Amino acid sequence: MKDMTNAANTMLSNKEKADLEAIGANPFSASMSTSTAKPPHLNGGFTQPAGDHPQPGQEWEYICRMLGHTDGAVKVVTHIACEANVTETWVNGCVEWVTKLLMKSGRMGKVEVFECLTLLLLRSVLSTGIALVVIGHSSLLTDMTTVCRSICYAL
Amino acid sequence: MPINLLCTLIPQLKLYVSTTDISLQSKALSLFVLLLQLSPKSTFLEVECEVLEDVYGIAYSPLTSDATLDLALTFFGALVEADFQIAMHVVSLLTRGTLKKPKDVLYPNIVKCVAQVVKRNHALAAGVIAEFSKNLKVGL
Repeated sequence: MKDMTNAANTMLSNKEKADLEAIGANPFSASMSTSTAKPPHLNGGFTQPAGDHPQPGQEWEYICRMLGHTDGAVKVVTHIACEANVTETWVNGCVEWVTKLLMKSGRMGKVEVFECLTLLLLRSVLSTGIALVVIGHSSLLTDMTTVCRSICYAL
Repeated sequence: MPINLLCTLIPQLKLYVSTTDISLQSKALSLFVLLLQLSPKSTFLEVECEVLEDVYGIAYSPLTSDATLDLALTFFGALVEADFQIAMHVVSLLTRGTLKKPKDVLYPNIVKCVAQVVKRNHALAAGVIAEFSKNLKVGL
């Protein structure tokens, strides 16, 4: 989970970092470790944080919010799904969040949302070891460098 | 993939299977293919009910680009692999649909789709060849 923390820190925009620092919270502190941290989503989905700023321990919910600009958050989730070891629960929570983003009107950022969703769906099987079957059968994946990169990491 | 997630995701993806935005249409089709490959049993029923008609529309449309047609072919392939029993149904509906609006259909695309379905389910080959060979005229 430490690499997940580092990756998320580097992907945050300056504004998001400033927001988090304003309340004195390290955006992704070591409290995000799998053994001690509260899961990023409860009851199968991300909760919307109260107010403008995240409460300590709710940084992940702050990133995966539904309101405002979510482009940076999609990049963070995509990057982490690609680079870090993630759990099935995290993947399912992110799929649910990204699905909600699809409901938002307008085209802006939708391509990135689709790419994020593709990667998350692949990660849901990579963790169960069926990835090789998927790679063997899918001609779609040949032009998706991010997916191939993720597969290389996972294997 | 949890079924409740699929039930939420598929109707949302379906909205993008239209010719209004070709780029997003391709992405949505890719995701349907991926879902059919990753979770065939749970995805198949939803896709058959919600999406299949729209993909027929893509196959018929003269506006369909090569890249989109390739994705439609992959979609039909994944659909037939998810449930072999639908293969005959797909061939039947693809050919029957051409009779309704013959001028709005690009026949080479339909032929490619039928061929893709038969490639994935060889049991259909004899029947489909027999059906289509009726229309061949000697000497042309």
